[in-house]
Amino acid sequence: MKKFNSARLRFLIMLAVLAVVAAGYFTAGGIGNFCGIGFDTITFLCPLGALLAMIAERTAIPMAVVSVLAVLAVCVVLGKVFCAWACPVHFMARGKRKGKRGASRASGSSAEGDAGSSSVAASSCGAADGSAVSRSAADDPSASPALHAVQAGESAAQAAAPAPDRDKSPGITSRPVCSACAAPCGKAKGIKIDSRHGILAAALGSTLVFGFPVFCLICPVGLTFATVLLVMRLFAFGDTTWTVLAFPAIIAIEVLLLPKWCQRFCPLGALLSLFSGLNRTFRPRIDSEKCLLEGRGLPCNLCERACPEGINLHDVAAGETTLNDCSKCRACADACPEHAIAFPFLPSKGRGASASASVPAAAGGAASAPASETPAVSAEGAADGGGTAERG
Amino acid sequence: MCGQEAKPKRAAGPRVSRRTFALGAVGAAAVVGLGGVKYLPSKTLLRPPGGQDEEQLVRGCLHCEKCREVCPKHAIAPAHLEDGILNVRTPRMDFKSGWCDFCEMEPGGPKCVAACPTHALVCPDPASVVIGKAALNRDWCLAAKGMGCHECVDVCNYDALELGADNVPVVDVDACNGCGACEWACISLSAGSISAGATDRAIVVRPAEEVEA
Repeated sequence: MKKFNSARLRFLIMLAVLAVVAAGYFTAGGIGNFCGIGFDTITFLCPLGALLAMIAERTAIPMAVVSVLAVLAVCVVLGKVFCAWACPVHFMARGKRKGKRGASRASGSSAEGDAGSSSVAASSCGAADGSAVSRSAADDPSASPALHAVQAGESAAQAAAPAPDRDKSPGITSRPVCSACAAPCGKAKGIKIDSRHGILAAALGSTLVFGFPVFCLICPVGLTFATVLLVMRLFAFGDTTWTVLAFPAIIAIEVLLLPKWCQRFCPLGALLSLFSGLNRTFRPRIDSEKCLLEGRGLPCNLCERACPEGINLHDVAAGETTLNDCSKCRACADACPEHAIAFPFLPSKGRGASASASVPAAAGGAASAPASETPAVSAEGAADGGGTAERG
Repeated sequence: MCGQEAKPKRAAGPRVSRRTFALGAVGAAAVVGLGGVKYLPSKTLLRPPGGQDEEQLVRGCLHCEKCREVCPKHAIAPAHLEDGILNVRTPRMDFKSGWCDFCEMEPGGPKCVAACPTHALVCPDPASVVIGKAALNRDWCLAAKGMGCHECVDVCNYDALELGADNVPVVDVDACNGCGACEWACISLSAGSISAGATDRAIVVRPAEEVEA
């Protein structure tokens, strides 16, 4: 495995994208921003914006159709990579999850960058310092591998405790498992409809009714770029407006106050996950021999906790989302103490489904002693998945 | 399917799905409700050439900022919250920093129109576009104070400005197409001590309806 920290690499790439857009703003190069990016008359539109504009205008716009198809092609070939590798909001949301350490690092490093992006990071992280840090200290012991031992101990204690006790104890999410189930309760493949898809449908429907791209008004991605521009204009032209405060406030409300914007609310992410349904490349796969849970039966769920998209790699069916939502951020691979998670370019034959159906395979096979313990350990996910399955 | 374990599972299951459902429903309702900002009052803004059909502009504008960036005269600025929520981030003309020559020298017509990917700006005939109408404020005009200023008259390409009997510029509203050159050239505000109390330039382009009313 490569040694570099992919979170840092992704952060640098995102900063570079922000810098390119800011440079485009500064030199009036006509690059545009993520709402529509490109040179001259070739502009690739945000797929959600393109759909909304076409619905609002009630005509097919050539560039919008091309953009949607291009994004669809990228999603099929690479998956939902935009979210983790380019979207600035993803990093603000992660900054919240990581708490103080992430926030201070983000604001520190971006202060060296260009004026525009640093102000965005500083403003959002400033809010993070106030509200999110204290909370995240309580609810998220972070994805640091150093905590692995402690956490494993805790989980073991949970697993050993009888089920009713576990239910009563606050803050512990594990619930009694349906051990009789041979099949997974939730969907492991295909599309899990969740709250994001509802918001996506509402965005499309609202645009149809009111006749303008409604969601674009509050899209945190667009507002991030707008904030960059407004700060640049504030200093360059003395263009003072309340908007320069309002946009960061809207972003802060969406990303910091709402629980898990990317996973539960973002309609753009919902659209990209629908597009990524056909994607088969770079899907994370667990080497079950190395994996502490699958190989040795130790109660480890670091990869699940690290995943910003809410995917449970040990039992995809039990997670809140499926592999369609994988943004290839490699957070799970970085978090895994055994380096058991790989992102092969193509799924290997025969083993392709192993990552997505590990629990039934382990329970059904019952080849080894640890395998029989597996269902009990991944209890929390299974129960969650059950709810989704019932509803869907 | 799950035999005797079904009961606890049901107790746990809907709790999660109800949460997801609630988040989705609340979020969806918020997005639908947001559409109502269309009916909030918003300012009539000066739009780039091709953006005179306000409905069309609001329908198609995705706020990609390309029109603003490609404008060779830097005459386009983003609208702010103060201009109305619906107008936020849409392009408006800013004649303090430039004026519109309709890209006469460009073969493809106005660059902003060519750059717009969603046809929010559509301009089949640049010559017929009226961005707004110039309006003179005599209280702030240097010429009205006997300073002999005629900057705006000099820059007008459309013979819409001429000096009146008292040597103060007069706007020919029919000839004016709101290109903004006069506003851009007006020096009354930079000569602030002379036109005391002025908050804007003495000649500014306003939306055509406001001037004609």
